[in-house]
Formats: sequence, structure tokens, C-alpha cells
Amino acid sequence: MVEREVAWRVFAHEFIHSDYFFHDGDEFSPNYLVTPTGARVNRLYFVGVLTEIDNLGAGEDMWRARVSDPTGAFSVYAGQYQPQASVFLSGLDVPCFVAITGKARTYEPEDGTIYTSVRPEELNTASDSIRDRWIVDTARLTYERIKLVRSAMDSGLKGDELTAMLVKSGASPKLANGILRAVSHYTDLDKYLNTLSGVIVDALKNLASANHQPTSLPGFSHSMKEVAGSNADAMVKETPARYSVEDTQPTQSPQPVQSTDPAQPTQSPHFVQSTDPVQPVQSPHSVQSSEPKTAKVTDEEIHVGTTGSEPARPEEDKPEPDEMVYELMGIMDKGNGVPVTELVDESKRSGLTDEHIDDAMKILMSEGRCYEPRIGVLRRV
Amino acid sequence: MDHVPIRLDKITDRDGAFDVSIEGNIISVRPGSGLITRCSECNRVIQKKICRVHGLVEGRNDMRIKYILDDGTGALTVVLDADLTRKITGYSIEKAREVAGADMNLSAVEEEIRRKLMGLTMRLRGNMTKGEYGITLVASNVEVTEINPAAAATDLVKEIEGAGHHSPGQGDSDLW
Repeated sequence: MVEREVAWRVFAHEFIHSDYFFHDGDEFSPNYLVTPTGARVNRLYFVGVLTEIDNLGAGEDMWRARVSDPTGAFSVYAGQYQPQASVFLSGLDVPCFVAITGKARTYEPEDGTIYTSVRPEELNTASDSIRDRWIVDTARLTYERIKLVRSAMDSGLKGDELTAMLVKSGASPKLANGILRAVSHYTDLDKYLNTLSGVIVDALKNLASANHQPTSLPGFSHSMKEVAGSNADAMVKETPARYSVEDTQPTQSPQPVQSTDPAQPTQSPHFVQSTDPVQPVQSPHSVQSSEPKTAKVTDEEIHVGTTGSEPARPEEDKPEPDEMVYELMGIMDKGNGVPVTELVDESKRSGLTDEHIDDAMKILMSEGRCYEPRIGVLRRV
Repeated sequence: MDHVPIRLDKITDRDGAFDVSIEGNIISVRPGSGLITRCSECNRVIQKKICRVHGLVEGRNDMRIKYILDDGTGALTVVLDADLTRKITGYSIEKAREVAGADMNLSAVEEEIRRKLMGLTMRLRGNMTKGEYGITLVASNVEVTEINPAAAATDLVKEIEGAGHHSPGQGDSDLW
């Protein structure tokens, strides 16, 4: 049975400070980024403020977005295999809250540093209460991992003994494995954990002090203003430049984003009054829209990244097996679905093994992205 | 729903679970959610009135949402029936049909649902099963949950600072 990768909750600070990346098998097998707190991240989920959207060069199907949380910023790159993400991002007005599920990616330019980025799978606009909740949830989960890592280091145990101790203390086997790896890979880990704890506590205190009301009523437009008002004198040490020209570098360079909200949020058209009486508010845009959105971008918002100042942009990386099979299914379908045997043959020609293809089809079926209209035939939903 | 929710990493290694409560974020709404058609003979979900078993049939409309619920420790697929769909999105079959319009644009309905739901935190109750294609929970009940973030943050700070053994860096400006 193919189990879906969990979407780890990590803060940008921790994500940026992770540099241990491995393939669990061959080049098509899942990639994991092991963070200092032992999270073995293939997939992650975060909510933050979208502060920048860039189209990286004419003719390139690559969009970059920066999404800030109280501890730093995530770099999100949407390329040719994420067309819906690109459409979604290009249609947004900055700043706004976004919720993103995506895959952890790294890229290593020649100088040896490792930059982490996110390849989006699903995106949506979000509310301040969703963002606040994410901060609390992520703080709690991160803090639990920090405690486990500290207990691992204090124990002096190694290998199987350490794994057993961690599992007994409540870690899942995957987390225990991640902690094992983190402890042996990261140097000065204790120091970093202290730093991370401090950053998290700051973020929580910020949240506790800004008088947030849980948004249980329609009307994001007013709650955005409310937040802006209460944050006007809050601990905003640095307002992220809306489109910082020098920020064509990936986020390894120190730019700690202290504000949880931009000081002057524009009245975003997404935060519209919901007429739905049933539940808290949303009429956000989400990805997977079937009609292409025309990019409502101004000259400001899109600037072509000059090749000189982009030393470390990720190359279009290989799609994962399920994405490849999904692509092939789309291409090969002439209107009646694709016979499985043909799909398998074509997938093999693209370099996938039987096992990859089998797993890929299972993932697509279990995620509801394809179905069997007739026995032996597959079709995209 | 009074059950205290169980973390997903604690239940996903079981082969199944009866009447559990879980809580997490909706991080993905699966394609095919929203307005669906069922075979009038066997009730299977069908696409465009053609049933795998019965061929061309008179379909009947229903609502269903499939989404991924993830709490940061584990993930599974949740299935909501028409009643629960209406409960959390406000969409009944009739209302969904209106959104779909005369040309039955199902993806418009799916899109609406995705916009409403992705990112929300929900608590669910139901039976969990493991199948060939993954772990599924068919919900018997669902509700959107909220917290008071300021209060929760304050409590967590107390817990972290109270733990004492390792003190968090005090506004450590050397973040790098």
C-alpha cells in the first residue's frame, strides 16, 4: 500500500537552515530534507504572507514567490510541471495570505551552499485566523521535535537503541529516523535549537499580544484592517520590501522577516464578504482553476530576473513518477482513456521502472486523480 | 463531538479504527469532489452516465467531497457524504446544480468547494480503513474548529519557557 507523505509543519527559519537532503533509493524515489529537528520532509504545509511574485525570465515557465512567516521566508518555485500553481500565483495581488502544500527541494550552485525551496502542489488564499492557527500548530509540533532531539542528544545513545528510546518517548518511527540523522549530521545543534526556540517564542508572543479575534464571521476585509491597525505599533522590526530588487538571491542571505503582516496591506479583492452562513469565511482563490486567469500584474510586480543576479535558481527538476505518469495519461488520452499496458510501455520509455509505475498509478488512484472507466483503461479525472 | 481527537501518527499504523476522532488541516481537495453522478442500478460513482458494470444508465446526482486531512504527523483521505458536505460548505445538491449551470460544469463546483475548504482545520469522526490505495476515513460527523490564537500562543509560551532545562535564546539576533 502506498502511504501518502505527511505534510510536515516547519517554520521558514528551520527550513532555510536545513541542508541535509537525500534520496530514498534511486533518482525517482522520494527526496527527503532532514531538518535540525529531525523532520524528514518530503512534503510540507505552511501558511504565510505572499510578499513577492516574480516571473523568472521571458520564455521560461518559471515563477518564484516569496511567502513569509514570522520567522523567515519560503521560496516557492512553480515551473512547467506546475502550470496551475503558476496561474494561481500570477493572478494574486501582493500581499495576501496564502496556504501552500508542496514538496521540499534543494539546489546547490557551485559555491557549495545548499538552498531550500518549495515546489507547490496545492495553493489557496487564506485568512488571518488560518495563518494564526498554523503558527500555533507549527510552534507546538516543532517544540515537540525540539524536545525529542534534546533528549536524543542528552541520552548519549546511538543507532537502534536511540531509535527505540525515541519511539518509546512518543516519536513515530519516521521521526525517530529523522532525529537520528539530524543528530549525526548537524553540528552545533544545541545552539541552533536554542536559536529556533527563541524565534518561535518571539513569534508566539507576537501573536499573543496582537489582539486577534478568531474570525468566525464573514468579512475578511475588516479583519485585515484590524490586524494592520493592531500591528502598527507591534514588533515590526523590518517591513519586507514589497519587491526588493536585491532580493533576487535565494533566501540564504539573512533577511529575517519579523513582521507577521505587512504594515500596509492593500485591500485585497480576495477577502470578500462571504454570504455563506454555515462556516467561517472564505472566498479565496485556489489553484486547479480550469479557466486560465489573466495575470493581473503591473510592471512593478513582474520583473524579469536578470541572469546575472540569479546565481542559484533551481533548474527545472525532474518530475516525480506520479507526475510523469499523470502527464503521459493526459497526452495519450484520445478521448477514451489510456490502456494500462500502453501507459506502462510509454512510462518505461521515459525511464521509469515497473515498481515506479505501479506506485505512481496507485498514488494517482488513491488521490483521486485518475479512475478506471473500463477494466484495463485509465483516465484522468 | 466530544471525543478527544487522536494524532494521525498514532492511528495510521493500525489496520483500521472504529469510530475515531481526528483533527487536522484540509491540505488538498481531491479532483472529483463536489457534484457526482451515481449509477441508478448499483450506486457506483460514474462519469458521464456510463457505469463500468451497467453501461449507459440514468444517473442520479449526489454530493461528495474527498480531501486529504493532514495534522502534521500523518495524513489520510476523508470522504464526506452529501449531508456533511452541505454542513460544512453550505452546498446542497440543488445549489451545486445551480453553480454547475445548464452545461453541468462540475469543475466549477469543485473549485468553489476547494476555495472554501483548503486551509481550514476540521475535526472528524468516523471509521478508518486501510485499502490498497491508502487510508480512508468515511466521516460520520465533521465540524470546523477554531482556537483563540492569542490564548493558545500564551499557553504554549508558558510551557516552553517553563520547561527551563534549556532556555530559549533571548531575542538572539545572531539568527544565522
